[in-house]
Amino acid sequence: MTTVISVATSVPVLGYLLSPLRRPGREDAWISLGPLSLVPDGRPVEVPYLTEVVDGWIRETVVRRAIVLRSDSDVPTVFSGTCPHLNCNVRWVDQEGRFVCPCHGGVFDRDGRVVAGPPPRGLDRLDARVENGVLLVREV
Amino acid sequence: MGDRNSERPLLASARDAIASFLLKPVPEGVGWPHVLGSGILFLLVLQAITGVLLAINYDPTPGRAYASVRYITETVAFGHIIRGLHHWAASLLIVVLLLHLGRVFIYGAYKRPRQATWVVGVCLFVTLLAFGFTGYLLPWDQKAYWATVVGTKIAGSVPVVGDALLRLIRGGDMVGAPTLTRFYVLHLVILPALVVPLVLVHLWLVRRHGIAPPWEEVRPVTRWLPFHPFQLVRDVAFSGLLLAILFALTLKVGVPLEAVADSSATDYIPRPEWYFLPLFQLLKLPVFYGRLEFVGGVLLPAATILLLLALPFYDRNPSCLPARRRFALAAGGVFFTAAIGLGVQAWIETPAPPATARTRGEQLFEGLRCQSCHAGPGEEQKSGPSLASGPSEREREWLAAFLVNPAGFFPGSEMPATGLTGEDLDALVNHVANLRADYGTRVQGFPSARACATCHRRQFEEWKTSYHARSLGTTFRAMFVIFNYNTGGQRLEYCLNCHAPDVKVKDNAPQLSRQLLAGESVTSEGIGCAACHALRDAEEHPDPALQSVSFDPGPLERHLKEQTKPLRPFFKEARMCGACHDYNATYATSYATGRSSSAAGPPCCTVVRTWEQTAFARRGVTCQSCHMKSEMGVTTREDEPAYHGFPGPRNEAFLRKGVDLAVTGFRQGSQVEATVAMVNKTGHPIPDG
Ligand code: FES
Repeated sequence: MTTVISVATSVPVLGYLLSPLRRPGREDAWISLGPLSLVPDGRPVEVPYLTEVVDGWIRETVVRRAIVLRSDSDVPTVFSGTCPHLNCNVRWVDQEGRFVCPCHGGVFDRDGRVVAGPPPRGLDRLDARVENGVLLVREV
Repeated sequence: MGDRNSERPLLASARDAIASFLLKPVPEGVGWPHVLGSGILFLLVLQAITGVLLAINYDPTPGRAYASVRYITETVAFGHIIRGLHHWAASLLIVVLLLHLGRVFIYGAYKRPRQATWVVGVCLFVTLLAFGFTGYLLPWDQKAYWATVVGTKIAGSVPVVGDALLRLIRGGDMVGAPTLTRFYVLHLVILPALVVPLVLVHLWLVRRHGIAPPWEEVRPVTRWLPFHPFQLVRDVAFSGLLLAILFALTLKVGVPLEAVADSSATDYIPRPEWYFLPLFQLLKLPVFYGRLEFVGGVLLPAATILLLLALPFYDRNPSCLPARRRFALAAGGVFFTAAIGLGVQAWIETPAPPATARTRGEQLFEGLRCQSCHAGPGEEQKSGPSLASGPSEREREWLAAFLVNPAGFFPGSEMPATGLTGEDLDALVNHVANLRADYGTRVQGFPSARACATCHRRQFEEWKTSYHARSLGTTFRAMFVIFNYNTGGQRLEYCLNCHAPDVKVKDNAPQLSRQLLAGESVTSEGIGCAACHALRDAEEHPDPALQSVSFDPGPLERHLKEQTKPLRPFFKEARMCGACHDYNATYATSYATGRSSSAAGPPCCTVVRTWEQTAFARRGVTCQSCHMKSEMGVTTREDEPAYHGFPGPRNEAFLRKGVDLAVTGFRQGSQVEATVAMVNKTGHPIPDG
């Protein structure tokens, strides 16, 4: 009997507590960053975009930032602006020509590679494609 | 009615218990160093009381959490004191706790028979750190948000289960609503439920084994004194001192509340509370880069706590005397110094926030408090010379030399030397020169709001709070990107006509577009004074559906030269606002959403056209009657100067004047059916405009 009681109570309780482990299915939507021609050449630029996120019981549209670097190839490289170390927002410092993270001093070169500091890998990249001159990205 | 006879023994035993508590003898030699424990108890009780009071007005959802904390601090009577006490007591608790721990360690008071007291004490210490960590997310300001993003992400570095752990702590993959409610429940329910028994057991153990007399081995206890009054008086005095410190901090330093949490901010420098700084700095040590992050972030702190917990069990040296415990004291000293060293280093290495929004010159100007003695444009004369009219281009060199050594120019001058050199000196000189340049050059044609502020300071301050001054904010930028995508970048000026009218006059829409798309700081001040005061009569627009806003700065220029009144008759009429607030928005929405105009729904901004059909229009109640009448839009005095803060629906108090809302609802299975009745008391549909 005690087994029944303990199972009957602990299963729902544990399941309830562990429910954040279930990842909500996400639609991989392509998001527009605007006409590619408007993105300046030669240095990474931050481009804000709107995306819908599900935050627990709140579904809301938030502003995120992508970092776009135009290169010789047709499709530019698009980085996420979040530091892969502990998730602070990195900033492009024009004078130094590199990305700097304000938290633990992570530094990345213009191609997103780690130059200094604790980040375990380079800046994460977003999927990108260009359609009719418009730059589209997808969060991965 | 109770049985009087049975009540007597109960009362008597309660009295006995209190008496034995108060009169319990404490060994001679116990004194001031021993007040730390009771100080902690006092602070804990204070935290419980102020915590409950704060919870009465606190709303644990993102967005609202911040608003409720501001409400507590700014609106609720004594709210800033209650929050101040709670905030500062959290830090003071850690200080007193560390001192207490240090005292017990130095006195060797954790040794037999008090091992259990020590273990429970260390558990309390860890619980209080958890209180701190969960507590400072609750205000949902920048500090709260970023400390939690970084702090929780450390859990993600645990091998194998890190990711799952991170999701469990955050309640999802980002710091958001579920994180806030989790931390709220931990802070208000779970941690208090742990602390109370821990405190009780700790106290009981202290009573049971008695307070450890300092170094009994060399100073045997010969006299015992009752707890009351000998020690109790000191305890109470110490608590009084703690409370005085808290009040002083609350009243002198205030209660910090940073800007609301913003996950897209790039100019914010995240730093945890001071007591987590050593841990923060540990992660910057190159040995913990990459895969070993887990060692610095999780293993090392956990090992430290375990070492601390087990101290009485591996430190078998029976002596409490420092002279016979050299090794233990040296080890403790090294550890403590290392922790402080890391903390101080973290503090020193914190970079200054980047000068994105404000120039270096502006920052220096504010940092050196130049404005305390010198008036800028639009300010009344202060004790020093006004800066609104100088220096000219030629005088720059002179100014630079003067700023380095004022006394060399004017012996006895009250002006202190700035101590600046190189780039910083140039930046400050530039800024001071700009104060005048701004005034001189921008007044022509389409003056900046700052130039108008020279005479119209009040209106300028009001305008700064308005949405007109924030017309190029983050949300607009994001919408701008989408609009450009959908229009192929062909109609850039469409949004900017109203959101940044100055670019139209200066003909630099492409430049501004680039800045907006690149996330750079912009060369437009949004909808400034001239946007309305130099506006051409909206009646003159040829195509009201695709209206382009046009300007006639003539009257404004005359006003600047001759101080004539720039007001034109239509400034008091609704059609003036209609220039931007009444247009066929189907055009904008259909482009913004990529849907055809019929699917985009009805036009939202027909506010003036709808208003014309109402009794408000017939009675002459215009847009300005409400949106430019004092802060709340209520007074109707004719001679009252127009209010330039333009309250709208985002101003809750203002909105409440315009609508009555009644919501009734009931649940049916998994669905909720609600009826919302809204009485719109305004002269236009809501939402609109
Ligand atoms: S979060 Fe970027 S270096 Fe740590």
